[in-house]
Amino acid sequence: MDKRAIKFVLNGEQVEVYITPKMNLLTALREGIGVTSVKRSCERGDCGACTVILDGKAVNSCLVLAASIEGKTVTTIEGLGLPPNLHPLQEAFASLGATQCGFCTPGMILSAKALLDENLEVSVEDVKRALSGNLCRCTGYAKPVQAVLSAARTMRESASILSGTNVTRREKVSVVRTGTATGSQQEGGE
Amino acid sequence: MKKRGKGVAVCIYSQTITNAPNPCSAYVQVKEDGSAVIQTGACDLGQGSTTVITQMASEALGIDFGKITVHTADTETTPFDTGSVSSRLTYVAGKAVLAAIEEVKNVLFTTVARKLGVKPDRLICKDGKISYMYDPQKYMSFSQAAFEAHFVDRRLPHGKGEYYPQNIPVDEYGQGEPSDTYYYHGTVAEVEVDTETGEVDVLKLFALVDCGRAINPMMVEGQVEGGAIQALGWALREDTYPYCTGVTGASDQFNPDFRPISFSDYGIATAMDMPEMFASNVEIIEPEGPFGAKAAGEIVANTGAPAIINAIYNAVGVRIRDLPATPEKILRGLKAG
Repeated sequence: MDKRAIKFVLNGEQVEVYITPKMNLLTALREGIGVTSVKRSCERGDCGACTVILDGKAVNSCLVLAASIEGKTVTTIEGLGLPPNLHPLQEAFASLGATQCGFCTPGMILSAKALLDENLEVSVEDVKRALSGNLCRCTGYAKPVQAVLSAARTMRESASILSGTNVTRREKVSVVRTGTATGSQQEGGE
Repeated sequence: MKKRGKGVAVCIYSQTITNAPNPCSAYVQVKEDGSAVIQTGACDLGQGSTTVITQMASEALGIDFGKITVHTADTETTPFDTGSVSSRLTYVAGKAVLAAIEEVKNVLFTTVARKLGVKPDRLICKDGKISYMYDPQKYMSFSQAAFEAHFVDRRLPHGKGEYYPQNIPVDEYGQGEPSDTYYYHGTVAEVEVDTETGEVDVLKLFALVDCGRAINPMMVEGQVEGGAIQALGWALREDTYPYCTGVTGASDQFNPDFRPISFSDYGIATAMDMPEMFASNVEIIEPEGPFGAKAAGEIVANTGAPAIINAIYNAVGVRIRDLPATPEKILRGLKAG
């Protein structure tokens, strides 16, 4: 087996890993570096459990050749934050009950992060489309969508505080518990 | 032309394993600083058993959530549980943990009764204190009570509990008590059927579970939402035929060459399939349940599919008798008139 080393940036750090020619990025991350938060599931691009952010785009790491990422930037869920310093997306998923078995969660949050990095003014439809490549059997997608909308709101408020244009008291976002009207055009939560 | 229809379905479901002994057990220790450790075989796969056990222990002991540590599902060290199956853990593990906590309270109440000069059965645990029920000013802090039990009264506030659900099998007349209790679920579905393409759009799903007391309403809601989407997948998308049925040979109804081999051809519902949903629970307290709880487990996937099928019938008069309700089957039904 002819192994060679590739270097890339993982969660802000330079890393090096030995790969073989046919190895996918999923295997390089899990077995090569030990980042098991990236999940192996269908390994054919159907389920999204292996999602990582590669140079700003959410991709299925099972479909990316490890050899092709020399010099590129990869983000896994650890790159968003580790307890107790959680990213608003992680905080929202945890506190709104958007994670049950948790297997799809890292991939879902990374898909959402890629979306919010491009656009914070997201609608319910935008979020559903961004998550459409992440299959989940437990949650029915309702609370994950609410969590992404909630995180987007938190991030918009932080952005406006930082930019000084709008001084608002930062409140903990809560979601109306009496129903889940996620199909409506308004954001599903307040 | 698009036609709308509504359909409803309800079900009753047993909980706990109905034909075999299936106990759960737990050890509870209250430490000398007033924190608590629970050990139980009950395994949380993400359904939330550890969360509800912690909530129930917090309520029963009157101490903060953060003071309780739960160790689960370690065959070396945790006491027996049958498994995370049959929607049993909230009920069975809950009762086992509460039984263990009764033994713990016996020890702590003996200490507090001595200290306050009152009868132990007049004490309650609440807000980190063990107080006299007729005069809240007479109390000991929970941590002080734990300390004095250890080092003054020389009794450790440890307890063990177990619970075996009843399994009285049904006799030849179908009479018996296979389950402690039953729980219920219902869905109302509103759909829109396109009479030219046979496609079904699920507009709204209302789903409710009667889980007894909802120990964690947010998690119950999440469970009902998950079941609703799984049911939508069964009703409209997921197809294994003829992969699982063993039928060979062509027929005008089924394609024998179809072999679903991946999530994309099996057709699991995605976020794009999620309709407007209202998911919640009705709370009818179960007298036998821990804090009145029953279960909110597998049942949530039961009534969504029949509700959607009934809604299709209400919309266009086509009765689908095998799932999924594909556009081809609906168009065939419409043509047959």
